[in-house]
Amino acid sequence: MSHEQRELINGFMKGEINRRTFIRRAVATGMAASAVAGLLAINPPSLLAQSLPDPSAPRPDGTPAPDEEQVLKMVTPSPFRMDPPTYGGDLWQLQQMVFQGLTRVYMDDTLGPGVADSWESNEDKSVWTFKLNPNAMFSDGTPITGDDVKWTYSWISNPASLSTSPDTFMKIQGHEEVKAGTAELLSGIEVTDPQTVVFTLTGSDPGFVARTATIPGCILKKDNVIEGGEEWWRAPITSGFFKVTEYTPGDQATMTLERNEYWWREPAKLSRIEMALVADPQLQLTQYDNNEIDGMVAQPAEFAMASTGGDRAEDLFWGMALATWYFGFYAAKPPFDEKAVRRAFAQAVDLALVSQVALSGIYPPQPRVIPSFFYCGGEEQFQPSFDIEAAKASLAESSYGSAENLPKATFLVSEQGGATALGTWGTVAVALQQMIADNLGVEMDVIRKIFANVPEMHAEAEATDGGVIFRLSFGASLYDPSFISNVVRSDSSANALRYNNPDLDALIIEADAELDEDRRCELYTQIDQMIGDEAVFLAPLRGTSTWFFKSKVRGIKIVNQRVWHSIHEAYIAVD
Amino acid sequence: MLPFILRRILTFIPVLVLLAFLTFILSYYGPGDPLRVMMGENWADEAAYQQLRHSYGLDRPLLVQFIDYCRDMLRGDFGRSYIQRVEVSELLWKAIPVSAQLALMAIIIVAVVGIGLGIISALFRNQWPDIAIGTVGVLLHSIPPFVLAPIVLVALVLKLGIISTPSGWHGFFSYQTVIAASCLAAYPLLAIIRQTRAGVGDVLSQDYVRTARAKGVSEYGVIMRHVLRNAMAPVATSLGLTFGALLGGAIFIESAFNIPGMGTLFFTGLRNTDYPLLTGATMVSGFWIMFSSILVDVIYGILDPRVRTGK
Repeated sequence: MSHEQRELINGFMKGEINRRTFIRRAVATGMAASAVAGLLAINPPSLLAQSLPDPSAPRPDGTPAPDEEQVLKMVTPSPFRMDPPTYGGDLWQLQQMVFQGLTRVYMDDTLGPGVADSWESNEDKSVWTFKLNPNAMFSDGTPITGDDVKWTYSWISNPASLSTSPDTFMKIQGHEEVKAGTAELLSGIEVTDPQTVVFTLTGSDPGFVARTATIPGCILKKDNVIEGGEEWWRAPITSGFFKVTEYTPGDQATMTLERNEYWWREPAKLSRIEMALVADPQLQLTQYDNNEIDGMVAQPAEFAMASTGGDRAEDLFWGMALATWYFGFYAAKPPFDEKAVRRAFAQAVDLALVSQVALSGIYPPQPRVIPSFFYCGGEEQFQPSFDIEAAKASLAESSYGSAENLPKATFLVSEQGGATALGTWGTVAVALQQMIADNLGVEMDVIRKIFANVPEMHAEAEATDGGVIFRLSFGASLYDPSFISNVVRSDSSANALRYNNPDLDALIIEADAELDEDRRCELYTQIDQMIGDEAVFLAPLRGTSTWFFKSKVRGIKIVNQRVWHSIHEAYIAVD
Repeated sequence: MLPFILRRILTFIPVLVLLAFLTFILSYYGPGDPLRVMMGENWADEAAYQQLRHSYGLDRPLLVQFIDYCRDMLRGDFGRSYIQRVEVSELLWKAIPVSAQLALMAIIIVAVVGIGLGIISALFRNQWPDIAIGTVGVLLHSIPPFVLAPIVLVALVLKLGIISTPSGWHGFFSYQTVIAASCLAAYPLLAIIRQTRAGVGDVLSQDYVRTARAKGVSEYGVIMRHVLRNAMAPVATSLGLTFGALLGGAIFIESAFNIPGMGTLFFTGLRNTDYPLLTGATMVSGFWIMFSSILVDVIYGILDPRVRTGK
């Protein structure tokens, strides 16, 4: 790509050149038609948000509609079911409200009582005692007891459950035996009375309570699961705010949830939720605009349009998510196994500009991994800042000395695994490619390819000549800062970038075992700082959760990524 | 006629086996790994992955898996969807009648409108009705279904406000089905119009048509009795093959109207790398296309006896 073309694209992306001029000059400079079309399609300046609007504040209260009108109609794009061991799709957080763990994430973003009322641990946090609510009941009116808790936790570890997260409770004694099929129940769980469950772990785990709030920790009814067989979830008996009164699986799945009259805490305000699978986003929008549904996920283009006005501006409801969308360095190969090179690249990109022009600002730059709205988080700038001179200096400090000596480098962009429109991340990669070329003098390739999973990306990276930068994401399924450990610990299977740093590993081991809360936070902050200092990521962007809700829907709040954690507070207002 | 039909069926058996093998191979060596997709955020847990592979029998030799698959398939068992966790056959048996009815409605529209307009075009060859029909046909043929469907939706639902969103399946005679089938019929309409126009045009110039007119047969009688029957053989072939293709699933239309047919099944299977679902849907579609192909041959044989006698 010529310098003239780069100037042209930069001007267009900054809004200094209008569409017409851009197209005319692009044609004159011989720019590839596909590149022009891609930039125009993904990045029409008219759709750019001038700046990211503030996260939505809770809507003002209104007068609740009569109970029979407390019905929320929603659509979702993927098949769904209420099946905690094996289902991890779009409605996973709703599942946590329909079922219930010993604990759950509350509206104020803290962990609180679920099936259990209280809990305590011994000094080294290796033995945890949970007191269940004596009124806790399943949706069929039978009591939830310690035996149900013990069976559920054992079932998740049992291969017969086909659980996708069988090791969630691997620290409970007896996990290996259950997993190997030599025991049915976890020996490390003792039910001392129907309302008291004692967990004995193989070692300290300060984050154990957070694990009880995860999906695998949702309490199931043994008879329902065993008697229902492989498809027990067709008629699940639940343990949370709602019960399932109708469910049709398939490509046009529908589900009706009704308020669980046996729920023992403050009941849900909605009497019914009607959920339907509608895969086509255009059809979803038509239904929404025609007032046939009350809410849906807002795609980036619609988000951008709504954030600058229009019919759906008042309906836009969004918040930051505990997720990181990133371009990261594959650290297992040169030149990105060297910190100075990674820093040079990270300092060469103006992430704020990329976010604004290529993503409509919907994913803002992430200064550090654990955000300020999360436990132990903050907004300090740990990620290298955009500084062209510093970038050049970093590259000069590296063993390569200059751009000319660097081996070839490539962006491997998989569009899958995100909530954004197809092609979006490829466009971001092109923007990053141009910035690195302009600011660092390094020419990179961009390869767009569909990868179903990270192992496939690894194989492609190993087969690719030179260095590789991936586009990936991660989130926190665990309400604990230890979620960042998995991303960078050298022996973690979730370390997609194959980053390896013994100093960081030592810090992680220390943090994971630290019992003092303040010190623990301090250590995770240090880990976060080291991730930034080491420039593990080229371009980390904060995930967001974006929705449209009709104005009559009140009481919702974005909590820990999605709205579903506040679904019990949602209600339909008449004014 | 029976030996002819049996002969045709026998030729399709090896084709079906080959299709089964190819689709199965695709699921074995194809891109993506549904188990990793199933594992969601836990994708990297190798032990859990191996456990799932074993649970689903994916760690057995390929040939063993294929033979098992064929044996089960003969019993109507296409396995269990990785993503939806239900029997694929259950999904197929729900989707097939829906797609069949949608395709039937579409083919009726294509046949009635296409043949009708084709006859008008032939009768007014190179005059304004012919040009207008050709232009509209080309226009409809040129608009991709994924563009046409949203336009129709926005126009009828949001702009004119005359219907609610035609989402889902509401029965053969519902307006929702007619709208979706009309969108589905838009693309193949042009081919039927042109074939009818060409066929009718050719027959109109035949001696026996001139003779019929000379004998004082009304124009209506000439068209219906002498022209159409002789011009319809190639059109019937096209209609039959179009019907077969429509049965296989109109991915975009079914997706746009949220119709739970074979197209939606394909779309969901593809999006989720759900190979049992994809393989099952492909086999059923393949079967339908072959079945409709036999049907076409039979109809063709009825219209033109030379076909079935091989002369």
